[in-house]
Amino acid sequence: MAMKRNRPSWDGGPVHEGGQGAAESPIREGDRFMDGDVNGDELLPCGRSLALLWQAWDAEQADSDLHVAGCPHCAAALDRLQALQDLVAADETADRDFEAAAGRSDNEAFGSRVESVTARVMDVVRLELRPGRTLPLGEPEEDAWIVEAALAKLLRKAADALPGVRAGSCRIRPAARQDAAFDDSDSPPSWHRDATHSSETPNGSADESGALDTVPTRAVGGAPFFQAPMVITPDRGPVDVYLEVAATLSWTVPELARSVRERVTTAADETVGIRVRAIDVSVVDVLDDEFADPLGGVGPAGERSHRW
Amino acid sequence: MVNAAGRRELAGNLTRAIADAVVAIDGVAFLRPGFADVVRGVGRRSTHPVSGVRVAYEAESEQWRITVQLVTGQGHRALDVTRAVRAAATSAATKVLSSQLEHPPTATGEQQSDAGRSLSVTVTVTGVV
Repeated sequence: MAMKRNRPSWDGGPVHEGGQGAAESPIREGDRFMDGDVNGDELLPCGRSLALLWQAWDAEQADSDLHVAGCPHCAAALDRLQALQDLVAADETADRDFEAAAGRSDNEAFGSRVESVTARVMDVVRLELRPGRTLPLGEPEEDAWIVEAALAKLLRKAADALPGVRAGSCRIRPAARQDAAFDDSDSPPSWHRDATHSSETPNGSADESGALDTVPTRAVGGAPFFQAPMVITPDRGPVDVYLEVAATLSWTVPELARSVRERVTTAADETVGIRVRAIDVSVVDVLDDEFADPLGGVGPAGERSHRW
Repeated sequence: MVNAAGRRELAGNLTRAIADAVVAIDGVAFLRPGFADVVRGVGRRSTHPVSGVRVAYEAESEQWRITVQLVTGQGHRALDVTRAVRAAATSAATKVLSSQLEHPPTATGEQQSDAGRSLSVTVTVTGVV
């Protein structure tokens, strides 16, 4: 579990840019990288791409960069990265010690736990860097919110609890915004469908990059104080849920959609406390019976490919 | 009147008091941990002592804007947790403001109420564990 292996696979091209500037600064954001923030790269206060800084550090080129040598922001970022690297290295050492002292099956179990913890930590980091849309909790006059990823996690879990069902992509949007976007005949949201058509298989274009991203949003009042400002809509009305599931052939589609809706509705109300207007369920795959868990969800063999 | 330095100190006191009050609430797993700040390396220069609580004074509205970001534990209704957090944060901030802003430590109930009205509290659940 090396830290370096967990870094995102950015452009694998050389970090050296041509020209005079590049001679001074091997990881200078040249033209090729200037769209980094557009693509979602994290930028340090000095303007450098965090990913490129990591890349240079991995390639042992950071020390030769004049900017990095004199920049407190880059230095601080590298210090923190080094600290994380040390923690991971210590974890690996403990892993090897454990392997020496335990049997193979225990090793596998331990490795799985470490992998799980790492994945969860990275999920938290990813969530902080990309908190996504925030959605209203409670009454319209309340100023309480939940990020979409956290809510989706809970709703997916509710659907997963059904035997022979595996929940996949889950997206939640304010219902008012959906109506406004749907009324705009020029750019209807690609994933919007009436809830009564829940059993239809969605088309392949239904993804996070759908037309919803064009819906006007604003930063909530307190958000600018955070490094990763949350983008929310001003609406505090109910939300629409779009959930993809896969299931074994023991289900009929109408029965599956109804059961998933019941579970999700209950979870939204009792576990979260968010008002839901519609739940759009799409069956996107069929699971083999061998993956079905009679207690709900899927067996261990299916957990590794939980998301698709 | 409170100058800028005094206001910064007050903001720090508010942040710490609110953080202490929030993490004590049943259902709050922890405040937003700020891992993103860690990997960015901004932790050392941050003026905010607690990652999940931000406090700022808006001169235009003469209001303290408080933002709390937290992770809840499974088994707790997120909405109920946010309501409890709001109440706790408001109470903690009101006490600090009443004792340290324009009012003496022996602030009356009416004065504490005035302090409470000068608050805006936003609570966001950023994760569930």
